[in-house]
Amino acid sequence: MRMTPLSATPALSELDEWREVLFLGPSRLAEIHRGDVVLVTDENVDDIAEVMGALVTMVTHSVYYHALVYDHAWRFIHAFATRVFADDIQGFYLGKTNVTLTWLRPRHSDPAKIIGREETAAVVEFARRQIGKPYDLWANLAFLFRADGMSRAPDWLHALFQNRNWLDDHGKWHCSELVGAAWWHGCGVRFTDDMKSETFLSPADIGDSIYGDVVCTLKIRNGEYQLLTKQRDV
Amino acid sequence: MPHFCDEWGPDACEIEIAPPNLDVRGDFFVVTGRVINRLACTLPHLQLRMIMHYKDPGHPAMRQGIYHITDRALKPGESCPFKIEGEYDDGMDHVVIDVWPSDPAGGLHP
Repeated sequence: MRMTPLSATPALSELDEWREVLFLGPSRLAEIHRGDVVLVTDENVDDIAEVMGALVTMVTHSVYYHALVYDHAWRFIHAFATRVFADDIQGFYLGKTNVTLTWLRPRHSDPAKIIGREETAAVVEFARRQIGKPYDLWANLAFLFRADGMSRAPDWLHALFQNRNWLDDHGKWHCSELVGAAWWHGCGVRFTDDMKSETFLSPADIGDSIYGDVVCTLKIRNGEYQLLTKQRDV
Repeated sequence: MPHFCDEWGPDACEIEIAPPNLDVRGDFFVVTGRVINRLACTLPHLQLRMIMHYKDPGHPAMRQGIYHITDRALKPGESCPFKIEGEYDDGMDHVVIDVWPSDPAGGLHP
C-alpha cells in the first residue's frame, strides 16, 4: 500500500458549502461532502464508551463501533454516550491515540438517482433536529439478540429488545439508528433491504451496505496521521 | 411462516463474485457479487467469510474476515447482492468467499 507517514496534520479546503477537500500533506487528498457518514474504529478500550464499542464490534463482527453524520468544516452530529450532540472532528478525534475514521458516501438503490445538495442538507437538518435527545442504550443491547447474534434466545427476549419502530420513533437514538433515520427521512436512502424492519441498524449494516461507498479513511495514531484514498497521489 | 434452516454450512449459497474479483481502487479493494440461497429452507440471516489470498511470499498465504451481509431472511432461491470494501495491501491477489456457517449452539460466533 502507498502509505504516507507524514507528520502533517489533516486540513480542509472548502470547495463550496457542500464539498470540501480533506488534505494530508501535499499529495494525499479526498473530496468529502456534507451528509457523508463517518464510521469509527477505536482499538483502545479505555473508557465506558469504548467498552460498549468493543461489545458492538464483537456482536456485529465489524471493525466499526460508531457512526456519525458529517456536516461541514469538521463539524458532525452523533448520538454518543448520553445524548445526541454536535461536535467537531478536530477536538473530538484528532487527538485520540488509536482511532480510524472512514468516510462513506450513501447512494440510492436506483443508480440513476443522484443525491444532490438539497437532499444531503435535509439529511443534516434531520440530524440537527435530534440534538439534545437522549441516547438509546437499550438499542445497543438489542444487537445481542439480532438474528446474527444470539439467534436462539427465547422469543420473549427478542421481542423485549426488537419491538420498537426505530425509524419513526424519534424520542431517543443510538449512533447508527440516527444515521440510518437521517438518510431515510432526509432523502429516502436505505442501508438495508428492509429499513422498516424493527431490527436496529448497526454500524456494521451501514459499513457493509451495498448502498454506500467508502470515500477515504483517516488513521489517527498518537498525533500521526495517514489518509487512505481511492485516488492516486496528486 | 417460512421454514427456517436450523443449521447451514459454508456451501449454503451459490456465490457469484463479479470480475475482476479483487477490484483495486487506490488504497482500497472492493469485492462485489451476489449470493443465492441454494437450500430448501429460509436462511434467517447471512454472513459471508472472505478469505484473502496473497501472491507475495512476504505476506501470509491467506487472511480471513467475516462480513455481515443481511439481517433479513433469505428464502430458497432468493438472492441478494453484497459489497465488501477494505484496505488494500500489496501482495493481495484474489478472494474466495463462502457462507459463514451457522453456530449449532445458536449463540455468538467466536
